[in-house]
Amino acid sequence: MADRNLLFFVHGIGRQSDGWIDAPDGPVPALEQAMGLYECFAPGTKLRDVADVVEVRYDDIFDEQIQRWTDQVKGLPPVGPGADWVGRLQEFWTKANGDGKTFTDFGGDVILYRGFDLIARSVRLRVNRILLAEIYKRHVESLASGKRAPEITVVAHSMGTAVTYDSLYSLFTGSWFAQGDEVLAHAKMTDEQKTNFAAALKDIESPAGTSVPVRLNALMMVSNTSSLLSRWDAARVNAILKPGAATRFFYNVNHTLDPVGKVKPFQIPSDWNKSRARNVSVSHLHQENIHALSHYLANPAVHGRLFGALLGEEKGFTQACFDRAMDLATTPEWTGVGGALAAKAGDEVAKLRKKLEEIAGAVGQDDVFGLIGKLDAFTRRVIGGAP
Amino acid sequence: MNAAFRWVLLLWVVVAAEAGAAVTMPADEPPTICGRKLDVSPELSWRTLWGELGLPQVLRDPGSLPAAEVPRVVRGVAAKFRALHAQDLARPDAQLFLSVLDDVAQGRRAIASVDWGVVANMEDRRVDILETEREGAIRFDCRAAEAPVMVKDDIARLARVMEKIQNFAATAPLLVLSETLALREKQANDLLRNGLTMTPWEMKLNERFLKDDDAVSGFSRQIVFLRPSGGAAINTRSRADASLQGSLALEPIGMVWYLDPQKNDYREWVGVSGLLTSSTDGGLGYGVLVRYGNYSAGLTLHSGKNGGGDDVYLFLGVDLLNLLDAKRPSLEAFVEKYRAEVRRVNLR
Repeated sequence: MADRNLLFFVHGIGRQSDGWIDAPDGPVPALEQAMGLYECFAPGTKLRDVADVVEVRYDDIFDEQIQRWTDQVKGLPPVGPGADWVGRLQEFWTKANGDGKTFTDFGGDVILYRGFDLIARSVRLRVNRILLAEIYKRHVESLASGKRAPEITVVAHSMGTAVTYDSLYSLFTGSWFAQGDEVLAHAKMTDEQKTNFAAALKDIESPAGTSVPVRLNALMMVSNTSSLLSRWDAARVNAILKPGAATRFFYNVNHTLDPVGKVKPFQIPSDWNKSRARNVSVSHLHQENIHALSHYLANPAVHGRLFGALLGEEKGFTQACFDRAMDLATTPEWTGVGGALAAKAGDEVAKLRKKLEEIAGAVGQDDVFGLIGKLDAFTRRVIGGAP
Repeated sequence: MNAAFRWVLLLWVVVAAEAGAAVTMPADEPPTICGRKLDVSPELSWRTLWGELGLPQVLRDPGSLPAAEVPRVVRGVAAKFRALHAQDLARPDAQLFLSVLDDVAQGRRAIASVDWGVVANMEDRRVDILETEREGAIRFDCRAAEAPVMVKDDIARLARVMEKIQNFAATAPLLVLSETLALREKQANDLLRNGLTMTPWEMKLNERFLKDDDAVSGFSRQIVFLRPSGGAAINTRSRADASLQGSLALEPIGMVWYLDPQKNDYREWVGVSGLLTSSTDGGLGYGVLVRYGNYSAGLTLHSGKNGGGDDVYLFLGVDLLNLLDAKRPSLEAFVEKYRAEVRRVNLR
């Protein structure tokens, strides 16, 4: 419905499936569990009762590319000089394609995104196309119902923070309004759509004089990798995305022991409006995989700010509920051990903490390979249980 | 006469109302300020403003306000505010509000570049309107127990009105933007899915053809560089060796041109490359390869095995081989028919 605000989730590293946001360890169940902490929400309220939730997927672009490269090397005959090289190439790509989970767990997606701009461009266009298609659809619904257009909040996680950072920069700086003739000539539109599009071209002032009429109410960057993985110069992007420009609120959310956001941490620029741009640092340990988006969102310091931005008082999340979230965030449960780990023996948790501290604190390269090294250690030692 | 006039007038009113009914009049949704939901002010309700601002006459279905009409509508909002608060115009908040409205009305700022939202900052317990770098914001401090000020409340109400006007003005750009993005995404996918598959290093090389602007279409030519492929080679000089042999090919350098990529979804291209081949019997050879789509063929020179000059090999790419293989029954039938025809002619 047009009078509900829009909440987009952009995923991070790894294989996703359609409906990933509703998976048991996905962000929607995490937020719905969190809603139970506040009297602002009637018992049993679902997230979709209060907001329109949209998932953004782009991981299939990486899968397809791996498949293309695998097919390409499969066609090479291992004959004559060079046969050894062909064999090795075939083995590598077949392994990458066959064991996709391992490939992504160990940073394959990161390499494809950061290493190849043709792939990254496809990803950016996918993300922006989904955002704008939803925004336009809800916009038209709001016009028809006479209600306000929905406000937009984006939650991006891990590699998705860099993807979102780049996509939004592309969205707000591209010459989109100068492409009208080509779109009319080549886009697959019905006659009615073409008529509407031609009329819309007349309604906009001029390509140069038209701004992108989108402003994010909040951009929440969770386990932020944008400084490390962005394709663009930070000074250029930050000038576009800062609160007061393309966003109203910018949240840079990181866990003190999550290695992913530590390789080259994002720094909120000193000239940003500090009351609108916040560093949110959490330190709770409720499960081994502290990098998971759901683990972050469970923390009141994170979901309190998200509910505040997404709903605010006008949509039922009152100042009292916000204050309760901020109070909860300072309790031992949300600054220390809780959740599934609360039932574990103290020395087991201490071992986990030590591993996390070692991985997060290990000095390494502050580049993509540094991140891949930390991901590797995190996956093997924390998720896989290796010593 | 009077009765007829009344009927014409009534008809005109009905037609005018119908014409305006194509676009829905917005609902009044005054903002909540520090927990205080503002009431609907009759002067600033949509029922009043809808006609005063002349929106039914200029809005195009489904609610698009042409950019050319924005200045006039915004001037109407500013005039309304001035008329309502003539005695408050010296206040800094009133001046800020009017200066931003005047900037938009006079084309100095785009309507979309101004944040018309009534933004609650729960962390700092305040509500901001028109937060701008230059002028600062019109601020409601929720910690201070300040009594409501009519002019500030009206600024908040009119900010909501301006937000809706900005929404009307956003309809056309949003449509253009979403359609353009859909086309560009499709083209980016088409290039990767339908075009000549690039090796990782070719992909890096060809990125140089991309513009630093995702709104612009991708490239229409592609460099081929150190590209390995498979196929079969046949010695055209030696009847004894005239059988197909598996061959590994490498194109050191070449170029591909897409034929009307937007129309053909990057499915058609032609290209030419240098060619190095390696086969078990023929050894290494060098020559030229041409391609149309995924079909490729080339000629290579190999050192003659039995002296007497170089051997010329015909190289056929895998897809061309597969095509020929698939067409073999009809090709064989054609060759058989041709031979039969030749025999028939010779017998005469």
